Amino acid sequence: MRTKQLCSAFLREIRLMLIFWRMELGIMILSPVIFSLIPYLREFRGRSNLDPEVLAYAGLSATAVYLVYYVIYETTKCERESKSLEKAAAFWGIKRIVLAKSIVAGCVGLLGEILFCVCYSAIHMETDIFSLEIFLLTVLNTVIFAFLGTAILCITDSLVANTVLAMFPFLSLTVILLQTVWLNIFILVVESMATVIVLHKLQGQIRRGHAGWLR
Amino acid sequence: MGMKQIQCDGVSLSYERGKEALQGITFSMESGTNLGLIGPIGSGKTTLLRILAGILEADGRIEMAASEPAGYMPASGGLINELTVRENLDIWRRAFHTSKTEFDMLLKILGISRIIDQKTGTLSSGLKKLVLFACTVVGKSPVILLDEPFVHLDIESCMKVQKVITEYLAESTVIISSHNLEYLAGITDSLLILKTGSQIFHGTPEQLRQQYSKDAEKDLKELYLEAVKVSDYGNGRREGEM
Repeated sequence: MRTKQLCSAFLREIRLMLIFWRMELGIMILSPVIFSLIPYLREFRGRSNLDPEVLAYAGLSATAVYLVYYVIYETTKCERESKSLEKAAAFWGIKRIVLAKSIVAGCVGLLGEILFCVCYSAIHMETDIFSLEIFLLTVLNTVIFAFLGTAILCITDSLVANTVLAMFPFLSLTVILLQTVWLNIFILVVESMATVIVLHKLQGQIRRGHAGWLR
Repeated sequence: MGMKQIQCDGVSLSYERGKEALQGITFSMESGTNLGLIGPIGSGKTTLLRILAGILEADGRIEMAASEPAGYMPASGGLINELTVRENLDIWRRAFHTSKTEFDMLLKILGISRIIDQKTGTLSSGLKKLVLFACTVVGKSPVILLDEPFVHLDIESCMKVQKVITEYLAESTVIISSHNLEYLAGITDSLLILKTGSQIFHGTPEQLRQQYSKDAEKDLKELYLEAVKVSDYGNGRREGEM
């Protein structure tokens, strides 16, 4: 019964996500193209070129995180405007809803990463641009951000919350460009802790009947 | 005596700063019966439904015989405006694993087949209400919670909703919150009257008549007003005595 409920929750979130499939596909296809053009733009402006490998990782991470943010933002916005979360939470429970939303958003991010790798490699006609370790690091970052973003946007859709979340793709980009492994890991740890705290806050809000989406 | 489907004992909920939304709500419902939940604006009807739906946590004891989640119809919202009626219904049909035969029967009773491919956001309030009602009851959950199901509906649609509640949901335990006592009268076995978060009456319409009026000609609306007025008067005397 619980597995069937979780499956139907996933199906609902996938249906919601598919409302915005055009934009999602656009981001997935254009992102590797844009990042491939950056070296030419810098050369045109007379600036030194970035390490192609670092640029590729930065594009990979930023694309994945931006896709996750886009999916979470648009689907929760759609739910707020429709006021459909309350009914969904009554049937599936808010935990399953947050879990399903996070996983679907994370999967879209991962799909974006895979597509980025494929397209970027195809554009540069190389097959060994991305190493497995860096790829897995960006996957981990994408998954954690999916949970954090979903939990935050279930609590509030304030300008501050949206601004903080929208900065994450730029944060990912910056961290990769700095080429510091410990900073990557530090950011991941901070994100994980923030996710746990936010989920706990959401749970508390629900118990007190103050969850933002109830309005 | 039928099996107790819902049992509530001393259900209370306080929001922050000591504001009590519900105090000591106690009632029970047997399987397959319908309860009308009525009361003035702000009496806690929606809060009680949300507690029973599992959205809010409250103090007290709530027992539901069924392990399946209740079908809950909020007073507003509930549908995804960007999807068509068919897509919204499909989400819930799959969630409840409803057969196509029963699904088609429900659409036929409610008369919403003609709008099945329209985008939900383009529908009128009344049609949205009907679609939301369909999404809620499609699975024939053991417990169904309806918050203001008759609002925005015309007379014909109200009668269709009544028909679904009495026939399609004959085996479900249904709680209906409504200000429209005329429509409630024909479909409920018992009433629960709330006022400012407190329970002032629970029982059948006949018991309401015995408790508040000996006049057999008074209809349900008049009996309800009598019950609410008496509770006002009762509060006033207690304050005066203190």
